[in-house]
Amino acid sequence: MDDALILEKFADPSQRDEAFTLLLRKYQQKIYWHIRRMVIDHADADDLVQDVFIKVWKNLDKFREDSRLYTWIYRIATNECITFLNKKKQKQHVSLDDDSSAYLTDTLKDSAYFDGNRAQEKLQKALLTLPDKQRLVFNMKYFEDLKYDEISEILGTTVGGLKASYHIAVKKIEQYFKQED
Amino acid sequence: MKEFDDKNRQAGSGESTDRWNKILKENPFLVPAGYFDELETITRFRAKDIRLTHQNYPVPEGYFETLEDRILAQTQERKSRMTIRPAIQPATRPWFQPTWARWAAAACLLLIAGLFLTDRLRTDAESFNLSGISDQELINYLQVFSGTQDVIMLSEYANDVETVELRSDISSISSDEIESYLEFAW
Repeated sequence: MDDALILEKFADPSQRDEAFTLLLRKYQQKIYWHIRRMVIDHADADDLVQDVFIKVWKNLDKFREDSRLYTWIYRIATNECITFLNKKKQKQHVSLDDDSSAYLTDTLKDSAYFDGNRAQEKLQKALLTLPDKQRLVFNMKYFEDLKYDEISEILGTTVGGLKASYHIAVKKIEQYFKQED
Repeated sequence: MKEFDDKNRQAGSGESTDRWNKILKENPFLVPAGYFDELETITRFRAKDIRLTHQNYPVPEGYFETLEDRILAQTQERKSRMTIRPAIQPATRPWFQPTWARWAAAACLLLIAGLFLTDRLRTDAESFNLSGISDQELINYLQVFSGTQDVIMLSEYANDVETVELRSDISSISSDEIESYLEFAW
């Protein structure tokens, strides 16, 4: 289903419910996994993905088509993730000097819904050594196969900045793998 | 991914580049069975609830357009009342304003004071009346109207009083007077 058609239906009050259902079916899994890779825990991701779509529902009539619908939804999801992770950091009294995502290591260990093999677990642990925003860029590029210009639209960062960020993330992960071997 | 390919070659696992990347790119996270069907339903319900909260509590047509004006009008009216009539109708509450709590507190105070005074007056009256009655009269009275224990106690007490009085009398008599008394008495 084309985004333009979803928006057209949503503009008609009699088709609003149907449009929202179509939008959910199209994006809920992508947004869930985008969030889940960032917050690790399923219950947290579940809460956040619902909040994201409630915000979409409440604000879709104000959506201005100067950006693409899916990048707009991704931006809402990303903001929710960053806000959530900052709150979690504060709750866990993580030092401001520590910009890694190591505070999520226990969440990964305790997660009942993690079934990775050794290599996948190692990669996830390596990712948790990165700062949240670097991890975000890596996830979007490597796992979600988004293009730099799409990520740039979502994060409001230049393509050059994103490439540098991704490059640094990869180097750090390699370093982690070397150290662990 | 080139970097991971290099890593793979260094490890000498023999797996192809694509396969190694595929393994790493595979999603290791799981969700409960049927989760995404539930998610769609839950999210739609939550979205509808938001809309229903507005629809379930309708307000008269044009309510919100006039609400601001009406609130402002009320605050203005109140302001003018407060500024015009401050001397006639002070904002403070009257000193005496009977309420249930005040009445109850007053009743309690009266009751306590009454009990205290009654007890005190009764004690004073009894001690006053008894002071004019001799011990012997009391013993006689108690022998007729009260129990044995009272009589015994009172008798003992009366004996003590007599002993004390006798001792004080003896101390005031000189030894010569006692000797002369004994000469004539024995």
